[in-house]
Amino acid sequence: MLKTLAGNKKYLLILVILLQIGILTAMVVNSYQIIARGDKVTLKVEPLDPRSLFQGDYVILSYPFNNLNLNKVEHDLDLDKINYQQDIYLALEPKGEAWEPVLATQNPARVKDKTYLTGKVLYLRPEPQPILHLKFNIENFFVPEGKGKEIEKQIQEGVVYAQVSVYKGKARVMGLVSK
Amino acid sequence: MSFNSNLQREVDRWVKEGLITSATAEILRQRYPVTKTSMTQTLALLGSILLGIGVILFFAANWESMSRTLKVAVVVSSFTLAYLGGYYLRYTKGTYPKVGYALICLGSLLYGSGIWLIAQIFHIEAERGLGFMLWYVGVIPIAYLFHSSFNLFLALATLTSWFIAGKYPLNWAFLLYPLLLAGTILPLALRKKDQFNFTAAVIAGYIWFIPLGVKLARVNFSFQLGIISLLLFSLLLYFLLQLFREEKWIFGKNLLFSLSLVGMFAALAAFSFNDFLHEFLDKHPLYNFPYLVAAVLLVIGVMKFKEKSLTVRDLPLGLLYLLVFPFFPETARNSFLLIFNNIFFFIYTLLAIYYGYWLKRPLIFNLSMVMFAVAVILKYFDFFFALLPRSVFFMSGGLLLLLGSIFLEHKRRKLIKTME
Repeated sequence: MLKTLAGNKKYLLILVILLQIGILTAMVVNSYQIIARGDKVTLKVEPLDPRSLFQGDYVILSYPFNNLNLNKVEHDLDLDKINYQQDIYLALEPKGEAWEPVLATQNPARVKDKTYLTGKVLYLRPEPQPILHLKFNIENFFVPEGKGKEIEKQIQEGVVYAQVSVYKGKARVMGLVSK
Repeated sequence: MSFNSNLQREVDRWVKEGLITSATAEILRQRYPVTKTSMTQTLALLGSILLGIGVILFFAANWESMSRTLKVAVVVSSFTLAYLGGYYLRYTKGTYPKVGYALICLGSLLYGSGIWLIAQIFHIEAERGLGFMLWYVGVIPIAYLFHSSFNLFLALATLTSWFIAGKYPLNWAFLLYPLLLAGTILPLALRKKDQFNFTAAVIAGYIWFIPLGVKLARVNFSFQLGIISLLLFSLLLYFLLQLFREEKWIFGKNLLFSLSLVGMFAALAAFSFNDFLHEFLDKHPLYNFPYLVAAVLLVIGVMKFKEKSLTVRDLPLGLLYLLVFPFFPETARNSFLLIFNNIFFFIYTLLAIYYGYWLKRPLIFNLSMVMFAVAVILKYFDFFFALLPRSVFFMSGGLLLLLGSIFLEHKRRKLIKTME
């Protein structure tokens, strides 16, 4: 009886280990898919430098469209019905050296054939101009420990761009370049 | 060796020598149980935790000389080896069960470090929600498989971190939290009679109520909603403790029980004040219907769960309040409610006194007497402060307090003696 129980436990443990490996693999595959199949875009960034407890040094990347001025971009948003953490789809087009947002919409069908980012609403500041604060999960860039300051200094000396891979609204930062 | 261990050994000897009966010995054993945690287990567990944190920080340093693939491979193989090694030492070989258990705990920490490592490789911000949820999903089966308190706490901590970090709106993710708490954490804590995780899960449950009040009212957090959350939490705590009142293992049961009574008292006191009630009704008309449904469902669930009926004495009056509240007509309800609330407030304190007496628990009884005294003082200020000249107000108040305290103390001593 005890042996059977012990035997079952062993197989159950192996199943749980496989589940855990599966979860980690799914994370890797998801990111690789975005990198491999996504459109490669260059985005202008404004970096800062805090530290993540679990993840070592990283640079916070702030993009101009994190604080989206709705008077300066085409949109179909009903400002009275904007909710916290709601999905907003931002279509991008290349303008000069970087890609910039050309349309903000709540309707994914409108951006289906375009290169677009999916962002989450943090909050809306309606006055004096309607500014929509958004998050896209491409705001972090991890760097080797102790190199955060150095990189920050470098990128503050020139105009910095992030190289980002975008696939079906999801994006991953691939690197930073100074131009 | 601890006092309890010594006593257990002595008890065995006393039975052999015929000094005490087996029944008395059993009572003594239950009263002074020997805790199972030994120094070896504590040290091994602490060692595992330190090692796990070390590995997390090691990868956090983003070590350059390792390729991405190698890093992932190292993490995956390290938690796999920790789990399998732990299993081997605890079950297959059985020679070092405590070290084996510690290795299993280490495996769960290493798995978590893997999540953060991958997030780091792809520049994903894992702290907001998803990372913690994936950690919880991987760890909760381990907690069940090995009946492990450490893994259960890790699952509770990661689940709660997921909820707090995610700042979810009122959507499926928001509702998932209490379901997972009640469906996965509490059952194992109850089955294991795990005091620590039980208490931690109760506290984690309260975390859900404050934002719930905010979401339902669709307004910013207000004092009124805080009071409602307090009332609901106290009710839930009360029911939970009623349900397990015969269980001796529940940690700080008297304290938790007192908290539930005082919580209900504070909430009912707030609703007995005119200004509070008016402001509340203006801001949150009919806000409390979902609460009412939740409370009723909870009662039904509790009764079904234990397959026993609760008597009237088991029902805290706070629930009756929730039942009556929504059915007052809109036009008349303000003044009616104020009178009702005040009567109700006093009935509650009197019933609490009766309850302490009935249970023969001096702590509850004394606490309820204090609540009654506070209620009298509060209401005296509430009703007469504006009506009487200041000097008369304070003099009559002082006299009332003096006489009241003598009367209450006299009654209290008499009743405590009866209890003994």
